[in-house]
Amino acid sequence: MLTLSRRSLLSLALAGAIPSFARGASPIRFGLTGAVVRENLQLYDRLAEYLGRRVGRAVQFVQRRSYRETMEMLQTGDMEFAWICSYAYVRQRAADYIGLMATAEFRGAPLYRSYTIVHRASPFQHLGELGGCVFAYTDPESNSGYLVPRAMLLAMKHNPDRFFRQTLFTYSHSETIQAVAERVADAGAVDSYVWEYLNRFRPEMTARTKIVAHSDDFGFPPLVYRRAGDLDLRRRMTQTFLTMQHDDEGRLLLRELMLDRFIDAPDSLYDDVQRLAVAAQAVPLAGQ
Amino acid sequence: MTAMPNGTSLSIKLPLLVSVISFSVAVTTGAVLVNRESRDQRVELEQKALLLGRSMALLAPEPILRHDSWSLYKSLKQITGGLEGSSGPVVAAMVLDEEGKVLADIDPARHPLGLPPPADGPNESKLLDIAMASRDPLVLAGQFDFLEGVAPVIANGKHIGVVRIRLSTADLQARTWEGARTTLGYALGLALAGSLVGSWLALRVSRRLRSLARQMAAFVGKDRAWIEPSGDEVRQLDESFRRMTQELDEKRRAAEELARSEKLISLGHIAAGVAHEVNNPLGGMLNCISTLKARPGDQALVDRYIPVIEKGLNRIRAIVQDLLVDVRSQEICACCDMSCMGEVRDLVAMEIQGRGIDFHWSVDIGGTLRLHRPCVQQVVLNLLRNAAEAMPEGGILALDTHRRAGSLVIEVKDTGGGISQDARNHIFEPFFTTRPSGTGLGLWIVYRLVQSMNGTVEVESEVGRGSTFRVVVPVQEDAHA
Repeated sequence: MLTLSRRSLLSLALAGAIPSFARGASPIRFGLTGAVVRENLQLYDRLAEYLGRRVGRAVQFVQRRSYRETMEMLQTGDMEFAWICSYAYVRQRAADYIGLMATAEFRGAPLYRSYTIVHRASPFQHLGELGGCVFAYTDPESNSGYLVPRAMLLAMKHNPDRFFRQTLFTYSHSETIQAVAERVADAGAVDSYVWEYLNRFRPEMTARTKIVAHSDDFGFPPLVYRRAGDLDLRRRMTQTFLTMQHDDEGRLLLRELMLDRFIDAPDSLYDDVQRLAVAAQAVPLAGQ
Repeated sequence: MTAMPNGTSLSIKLPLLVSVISFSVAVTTGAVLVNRESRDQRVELEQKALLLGRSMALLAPEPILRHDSWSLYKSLKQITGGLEGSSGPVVAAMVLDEEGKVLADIDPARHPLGLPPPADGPNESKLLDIAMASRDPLVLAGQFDFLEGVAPVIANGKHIGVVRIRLSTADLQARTWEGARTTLGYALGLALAGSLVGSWLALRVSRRLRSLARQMAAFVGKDRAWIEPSGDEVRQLDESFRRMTQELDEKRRAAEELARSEKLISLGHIAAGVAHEVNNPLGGMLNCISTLKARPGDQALVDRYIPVIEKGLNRIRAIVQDLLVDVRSQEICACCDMSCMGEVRDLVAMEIQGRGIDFHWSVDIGGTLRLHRPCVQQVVLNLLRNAAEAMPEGGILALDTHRRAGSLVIEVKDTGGGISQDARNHIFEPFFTTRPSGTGLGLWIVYRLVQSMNGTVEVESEVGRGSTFRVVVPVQEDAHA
């Protein structure tokens, strides 16, 4: 990790030093995380093509396993934009190297929640019953897949680090669903958008799980830009997302993404997430 | 087969035998092949288990050290193909930590993470102990239906876990059974084919054997009651053959008996003939002597009776000389050529002079023949004399002697009164004659001499037209001629 950090710093330095026109021919790197469904590559290819046409430069979606890697790439300038998790956003927005570009509206609001899921045949009805079980988190920087269930356990006076017999990270909401469906984990916490998306397009997977709990609503995982990036490009990209619903192709893509549209949401939308994060760290842990 | 009763026909025994042999060979061969195939497949399966175990053991250290159970599970599932929807032989696969707790298992519902796998019986516990203790990859054999590849997971020289991949041997067993069934099917097929071939063979053989036995039965005798022999065809044939040889033996003995008695009869016949022929002149001579003794000094009587006595003695001497012809001791000391025939011709010509007989002479015997000269002369002379005697009123006497296919043919024809069928049956017997003056030995001598030369003599005759005697003797050309 140390080596990577050095390389990242070097990249950052170089990114600042090299004039933007010299890199103009290269595609715009757009990061995707586990916050969205990455399995449907064809759809994202079409979205990349659509965006590229609108902003006048090729767009390339880039995937990394964890949020952390994606955030590092944003920081070092290895990518210009990314669709990240709300928790990752609130963790990093203070650092001032990323800015909120747009937020998707899902089922009428720019909100989503965390689902606690178990296997369809599981006897468990509530998160509190899962003591001594195997629990699947999505990513340590995930809101719905990590922060929320831990906060819920804390609220129940459980120590999330000891409550479960074993925990594992899948680094993808859909893989968390898979882990529960295949009974590797007794339960897991997932993004409601991803579960609903998969429930519609890959119901054979979600059919083997059931939702036993859901959290309050939180701001939908945001699209962010790198502050040090090309301003004009950022404007064009922002405009493209915010107006997608006005053309047929954009509407079709939105429909396939199960989203209504992208809006220019206020940054305060994510304050709840921040509060949760603070609370999760502030509340005295049971058993400690 | 030994339990089979001896009386069972070959048409049952042979097909059974062929079937049993075909079946045994097919089953034995099949069993060997199936066994080898099964062994090979097992070795292949063991190698596969080992390969899967080792592959997983190579991938495992990093996720284990990072406590990344999900990656470990995904790798295990990818390597083994998982359990769901897979028709592969993997029935279980797990990665355990150094304490024996499950780090990953393709059947997490059965083997949950973080717990030791449940000990299902002493055998499972034993396998688990061996797997945990292993520091080198190895293959463990399950009790019945699986085998297990075990590979320790080593990171920086430290034993951090173990991979266990369990493959089902059910498919192997199924294939072995399938092979066994196929083999059995082939064996039964071969047995059936064998019985068909055997039946066909048996039918052919037993038909011939029965036919042979029947022919033997027929040979042994129709008048004799034929008791059908018991047993199979071979036994029947054997029995028939035994009976036939027995019968032949009896017949041969009877024939010898007959020949002996015929010989005795023949000897008696000759003795009687001799007695009779000698007795006739003896009677006359004894009368003469008796008369001469009664009237001694009667010169006229002496003059009259001495020639009679002399004639009688001459006749007796002639008979005795003819009887003394010894055909056995006649070795070839002089060969036969044209000159030997010439001597006979002169003699016969002198004898028949003035009897109104026209003598035709045709002799062409080529070179010198290795035949006994006196014998041939005697045969020709006797036949010519006999023919001349058959023509008291005169006629044509012809001799034709020529070579034909390695034989000498002597034909003597006359135009006499011929020989009746009844007489023809006896003419070669001693002392058989139709003429008062004959001794009845001439043709008998001919017969014996021709026989001594390995030849044949035959006669054709028509009463009132004459007769033809034909002698054929095999000859050898005299190489020294």
